Amino acid sequence: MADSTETQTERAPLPLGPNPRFITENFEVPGIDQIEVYRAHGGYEALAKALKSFQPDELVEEVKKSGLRGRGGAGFATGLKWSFLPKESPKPRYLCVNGDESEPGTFKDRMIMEVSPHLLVEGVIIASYATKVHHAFIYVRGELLKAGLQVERAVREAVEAGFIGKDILGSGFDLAITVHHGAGAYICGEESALLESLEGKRGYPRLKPPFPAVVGLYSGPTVINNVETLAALPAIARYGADAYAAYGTEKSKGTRVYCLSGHVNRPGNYEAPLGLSLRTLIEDLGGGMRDGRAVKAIIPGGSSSPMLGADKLDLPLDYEAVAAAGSMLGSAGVIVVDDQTCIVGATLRMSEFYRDESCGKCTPCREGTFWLVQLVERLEAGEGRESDIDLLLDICDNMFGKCFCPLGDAATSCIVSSIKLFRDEYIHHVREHACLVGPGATRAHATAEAHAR
Amino acid sequence: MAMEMIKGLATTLRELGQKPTTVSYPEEKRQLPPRFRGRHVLHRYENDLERCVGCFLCAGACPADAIYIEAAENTEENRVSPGERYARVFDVNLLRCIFCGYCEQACPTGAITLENIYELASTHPDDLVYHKEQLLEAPGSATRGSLDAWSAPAPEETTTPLPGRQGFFDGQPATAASVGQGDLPAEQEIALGDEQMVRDVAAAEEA
Amino acid sequence: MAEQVEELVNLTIDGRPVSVPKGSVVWAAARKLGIEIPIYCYHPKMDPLGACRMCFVQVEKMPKLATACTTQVAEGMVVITDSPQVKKARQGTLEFLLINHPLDCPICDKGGECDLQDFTLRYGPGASRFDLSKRHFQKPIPVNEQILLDRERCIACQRCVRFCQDVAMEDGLVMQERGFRTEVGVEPSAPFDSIFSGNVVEMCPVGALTAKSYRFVARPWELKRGATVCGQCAVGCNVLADVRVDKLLRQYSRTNDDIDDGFLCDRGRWNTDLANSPERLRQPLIRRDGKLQSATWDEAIALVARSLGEIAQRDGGEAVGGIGSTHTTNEEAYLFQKLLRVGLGTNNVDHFHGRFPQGDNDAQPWVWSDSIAGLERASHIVLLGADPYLRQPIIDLRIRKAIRRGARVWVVSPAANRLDRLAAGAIRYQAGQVGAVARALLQVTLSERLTRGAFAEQRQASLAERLAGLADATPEAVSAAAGCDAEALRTLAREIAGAKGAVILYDEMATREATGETLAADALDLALLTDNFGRAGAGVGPLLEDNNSLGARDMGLLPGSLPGYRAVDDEQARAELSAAWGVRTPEAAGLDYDAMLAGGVKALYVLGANPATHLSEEGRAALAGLEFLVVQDLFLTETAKLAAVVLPAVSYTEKDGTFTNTERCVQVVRKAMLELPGARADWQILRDVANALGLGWTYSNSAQILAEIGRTTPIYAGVSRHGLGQTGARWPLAPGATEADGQRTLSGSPFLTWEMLAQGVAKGRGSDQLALSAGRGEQA
Repeated sequence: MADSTETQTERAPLPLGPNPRFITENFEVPGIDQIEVYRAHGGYEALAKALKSFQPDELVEEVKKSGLRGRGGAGFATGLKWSFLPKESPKPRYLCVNGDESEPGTFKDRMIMEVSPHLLVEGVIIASYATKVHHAFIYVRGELLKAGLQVERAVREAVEAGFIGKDILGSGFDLAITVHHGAGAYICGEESALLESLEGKRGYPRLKPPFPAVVGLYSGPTVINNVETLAALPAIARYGADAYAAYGTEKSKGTRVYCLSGHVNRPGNYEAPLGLSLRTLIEDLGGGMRDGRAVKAIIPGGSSSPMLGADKLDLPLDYEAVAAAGSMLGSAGVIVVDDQTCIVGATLRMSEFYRDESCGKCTPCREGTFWLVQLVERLEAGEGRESDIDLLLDICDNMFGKCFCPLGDAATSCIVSSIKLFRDEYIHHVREHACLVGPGATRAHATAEAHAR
Repeated sequence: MAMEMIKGLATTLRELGQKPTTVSYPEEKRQLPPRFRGRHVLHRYENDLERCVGCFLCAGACPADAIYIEAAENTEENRVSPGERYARVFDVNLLRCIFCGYCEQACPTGAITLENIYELASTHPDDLVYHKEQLLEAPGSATRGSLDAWSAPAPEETTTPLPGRQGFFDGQPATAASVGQGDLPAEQEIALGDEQMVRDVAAAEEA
Repeated sequence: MAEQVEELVNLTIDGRPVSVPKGSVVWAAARKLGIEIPIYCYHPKMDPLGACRMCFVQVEKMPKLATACTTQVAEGMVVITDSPQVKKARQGTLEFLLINHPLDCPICDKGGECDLQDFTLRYGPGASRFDLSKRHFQKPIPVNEQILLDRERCIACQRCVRFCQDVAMEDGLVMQERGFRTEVGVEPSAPFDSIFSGNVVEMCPVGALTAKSYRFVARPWELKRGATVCGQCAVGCNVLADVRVDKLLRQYSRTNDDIDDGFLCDRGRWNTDLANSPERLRQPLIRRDGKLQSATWDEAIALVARSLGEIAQRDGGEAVGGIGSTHTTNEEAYLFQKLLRVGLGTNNVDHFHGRFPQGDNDAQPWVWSDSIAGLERASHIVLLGADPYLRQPIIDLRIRKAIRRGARVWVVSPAANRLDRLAAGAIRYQAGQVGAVARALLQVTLSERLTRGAFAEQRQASLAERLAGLADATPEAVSAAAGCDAEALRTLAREIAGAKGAVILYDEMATREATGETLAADALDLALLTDNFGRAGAGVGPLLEDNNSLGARDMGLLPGSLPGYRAVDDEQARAELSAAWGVRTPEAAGLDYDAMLAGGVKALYVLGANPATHLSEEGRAALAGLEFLVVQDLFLTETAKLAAVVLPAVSYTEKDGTFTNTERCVQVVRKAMLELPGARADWQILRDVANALGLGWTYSNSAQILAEIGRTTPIYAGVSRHGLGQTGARWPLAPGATEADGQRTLSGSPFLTWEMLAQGVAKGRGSDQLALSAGRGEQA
């Protein structure tokens, strides 16, 4: 790997300063959601540049070079994903934008769509041009009503301005964009379930293979990208792939919008280069822990990612480092939990989410989440047994890797990781019939006496 | 020789003064052990609902094919047993019964037990087919019957023996999923024909 | 049939090598080896779903366990089905399934044939670790007239839902709610009223969907499951007739891929009246003092034989006639015509059937030249006046499968049809005008010179004449008379002529409509002239009415034809038959159905038919006024009420024999239950009557009669129960190789070619008459 050191050295001069904001650059500008304001701040210039100076295939190469990876959760290289589309296909090809952001702890796409919908629309047009798609769909989570309306309006404005339609900016490229409001199901954030939902069917994940790149929406080759991924495209087109790739780490390039939530002083979305350490995020950007408490656990990538202990505070937030620590960066929804939080209670809350959002297609997820919740509920209520803890782990083992789609695996991660890190706390619930910390700790005597009888 | 005769006679003399082992039935009746297997009784719950749900398991377990049941559905107006199902017809043919008690073992609700009722003689065969009305406990007199004598809990480590891997009830691999029974081996040619007929068929097809 | 050779893939399962076609799933490969992999959501007749997570296997080089139902085989694949990981995964899935499944097996109708029970016993954990509260629903709710749904028992495998949507392609069951609240249900606006609904009960791997008619009536282990053939319509689906003691409770599919594809219609599944009805006749009746009174069999048989014999003696055989049945077995139809021809010396034998054009004689195999399975290969399917959904439902289901494979279906019918929604086109005409529509299609074909293929080439000369005969059948003229769209007729004719393979099906009874007389001939010509004939996926023919409509014709229940469509005046046939029967049959053709009922005979033997329903008041009076009328039937029908003697017969589940379905498939019918006490099988009654007439028949079972049919009927040459096997064979039959145990196999013909039909085409066919006028069906 002689190259890598070379790249490191090449990277030294940062073209846009140490802390660039590729996505959120103009988010504070009032009225940036209006096309006039957006254009006044350089909006749609990147599109014009992309259409004029790049052939579609060159654009794919450019994105590959930028090192942009999917921001939805899996972190798959975007340019590579595009190149999987078959060259020839009898069916029309489609681009679907996954705006069904429902991962607990994640709220970046919502902000992008609400604050600067034109950024997304511009990204969609660039991506469609690169993938030679003539019909793109933006699937917006149903609950995000404002985001959906904003995107709808932005598309309308872009059509009126001639950025969408026939022969865009004289390039000969045609595109139509349809905005679709989901009906409220977490599973529709899974790409194949999103396609089913778009087709008007129940949101059930599809059998793979065939993968959507080959047989996707209406059986046509389909590329599905996250909102944040596409929102990064205008910047890449404008500043060039090298400028984008100059940030981040070796394999995780560019910036991310981190969704910081939990017991910090200033929760919110913070755009920063990949590889930022957790401590910097919490201390510098998030303004430290609320009430000066200590960090107990961190969930680095939305509730589907296993939680990490306080010892991992210096972990750099990039795909590889987080994976090496036994979790995943996922959607970069960083949830910080302080030391006054009952971890069993937190786990119960997350398990309930997966029980309620399981689509019910496959057995382990449908029945397993139902069972897990009842067990954790019993433990949290102080009625559990010590054997329940191992039973939980065994149920998770029976679910992990055996469900139809990743949702089932995700449902186990909070339980497995919390038992791994905080087994004592579970045992405390069993033995003392009360929480170790937090408000539940004080009920100890009452229930203990009840049990003694 | 004479020695042996004396020996035998001694045995006789020894037993002569003992109490007889026989009783003079019917004036006198023997005290029966609690697990004695006599005629069947159908039990009720305390609330007078019948325990029997008409599941046919006793009939299925019966090696003598002595039990005939027809089941029916409980309705709000006519509730006979708890749940959905009850036995509308429950006949035990005591001429066939071998009093093995398998029915009692098979019953999932403790509805049928064999009791100490053994005076079962009759001059008419029909009398010995007992119907549900005859087998059933009178309302208000619910008991568990001989179940109490049998139901010492099994030791914890007892495992239920599993039936063989292939086909439990009907010899066909897992029935509802066995779509594609067309390639099962042929059924016997004439399921209910007499043997002569079977031979004739073979002869005819040879011809 | 020349199939292209399928590419085989070699793999190893549990150390045993196996080769299966490319594209198969691992489950199918394991099944071929006899290795059971438990499944719930997978169903071999539907696309894989992968939802139940039951069929885990370990595949070498795959990081996770794979589901056998979704994993396609690959060359060199190594599969292990019983590793500790697989066992644990299966136990885990079963434990999951059981946490919300009520343990009410003792009262569940599925108990004993339940996959959840069976697989739990074989692969499941011994005990559950779930000690919390289960999900509860209201116990059974009806989803339609015949089916109950117990949502607590449902394991959400979606088999039923996928059947409704993907196989039956109709409204019906859908999934509702999500997660652990998932349930199956029916949308109020889209009722589940399909005639195929019963299949979901059979498919359901648990007791969630159960049949009202089967509710609590039996447990599977006490059923006698007779492997027989359904007798409800002309499709001849293979069934297991499930009998408890003396009642037929239901019929389950016995999957014959070439006929029923593993599905049954609700009529076949649940209509058990033929066997169970309390109205069934239980003893012979003889009219005494003007009233039908019970009698013994000996009395009744003697009276029938004496009366028929005397009248035949006195007035000649022509005074006696017989009306046969489209329901009885081939053996019985054969014996019936033999009794009349040999015992009473008359050709007056017929049955109620469609109108098929008659040339020199009516000995014409008007049959569907292709097969049900062939529909899947058709590019076009044209239904002329036929509504298989109502009459031959399983053919309708096969047409839906063909639609999924891209076939264009044209529904030409007088009324709305369930297939309209899926059809490429629908043509409505005024009732009775189907013949005119067929003529118009032929007219367009000829006038627009759309004919193609060798058959048309060879007959170029006569085409003009044929067209001239259709001068009054231009689409415009027909559309005016029949009220249909002329342009649609033209479009359809062009599509047929341009089709890769078109199957044209007309309803047998449509030929009895006002203009139906020429329907059969015109449809045949249409297919022949457009080269839609003589291969799988192309053909023409009637959809017949009853389970043995075709067998009745095959066996010679026709006044002009001997068994196997040989003319009554065919010298060779008569010579052969006299050698077999010992008597020469009469040479002159007999009276047909209508002529016999119009007073042509003095005595009439009606077997399994009900002509009174086709007659006016006067006609019935005439029937009642016959010198002697004997009726042999299951019920006291309108005709039987007029009879002098009524003989009680048994239904198809109570006897052995063979049926020939509408696509020429001869299948073995097996006795599934004992005869109703007092009733007898038709062949036994016929034998006894014949013996009372002094004929000395020695048949002691139906197999002997079948063997005789195999010797005397060329298209059934060499037929035997063993040769027909489990799935039957399509005539013309030919004896095949001899197996190791000395039994002969049979070979059939999946489709008819023009040459097969035309062999021995009769003398004197007018050149304007293209349609076959006679075919003896003698086979090489």
